[in-house]
Amino acid sequence: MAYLVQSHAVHTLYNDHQGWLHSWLRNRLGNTWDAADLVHDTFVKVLLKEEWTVIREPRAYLTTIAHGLMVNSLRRKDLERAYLDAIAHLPEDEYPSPETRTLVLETLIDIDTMLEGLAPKVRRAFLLLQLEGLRHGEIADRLKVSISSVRQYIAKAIQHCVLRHHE
Amino acid sequence: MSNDSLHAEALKAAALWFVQLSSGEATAEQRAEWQTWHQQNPAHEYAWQQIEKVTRKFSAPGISASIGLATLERPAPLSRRKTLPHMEAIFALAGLSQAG
Repeated sequence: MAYLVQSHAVHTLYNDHQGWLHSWLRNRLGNTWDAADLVHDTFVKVLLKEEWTVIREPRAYLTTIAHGLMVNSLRRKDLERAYLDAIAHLPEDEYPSPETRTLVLETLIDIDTMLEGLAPKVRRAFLLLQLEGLRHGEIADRLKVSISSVRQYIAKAIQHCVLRHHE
Repeated sequence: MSNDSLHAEALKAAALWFVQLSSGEATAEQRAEWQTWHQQNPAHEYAWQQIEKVTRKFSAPGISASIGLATLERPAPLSRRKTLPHMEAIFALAGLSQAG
């Protein structure tokens, strides 16, 4: 059974490299618990991979996966902090429930991931349109650019988001 | 999902329609033209659906303009990291002025 072979291989990979990967992550994250979590997540991801290839450079392979997970985890923490700051001043009866907070945070992470890679002005123009519902002329004033630039930014942003979301 | 059914040309056209319709200044005539374009070809319809999926995210409950901007326009952690050497220079100067 392919699965047994695969899980056996992952087990070997784990025994040989988990200590090294943990140090690699701890050096970057500065704490041992987050590093341990990401070591775990990295091996789960390897185990769940559908296509199984011969890994010639196991450490390069593991660090590529671990790096992606680390970036996502930092993005999540960063967004969560910004979100909690943004709602901190809300009165108690308007403060979102834990369930709502989780849902909103997931949506924010989705949007942030979609927007990644856009130039700052393009990103800002698109956010002002989508979140504040500003007219193109108002966006142009805020960004101190021409209306035709705003139109180009919006066209660029929406295509970028569709392609990222569609992946 | 594959990109098989998403045609680059259709996406480009859809993006231009999105710009036009989001301007707040689209005329009834332009809306009718959009309708024609949308119905002309399944690829157009598909590309437009993808745009709607993206824009729907922004109107999810709990995402107000102020919360959205405060979180999505936060300073990037990477750019913060880039300012580190600068901060170190400031600390060094602060140390110097204290010493002096």
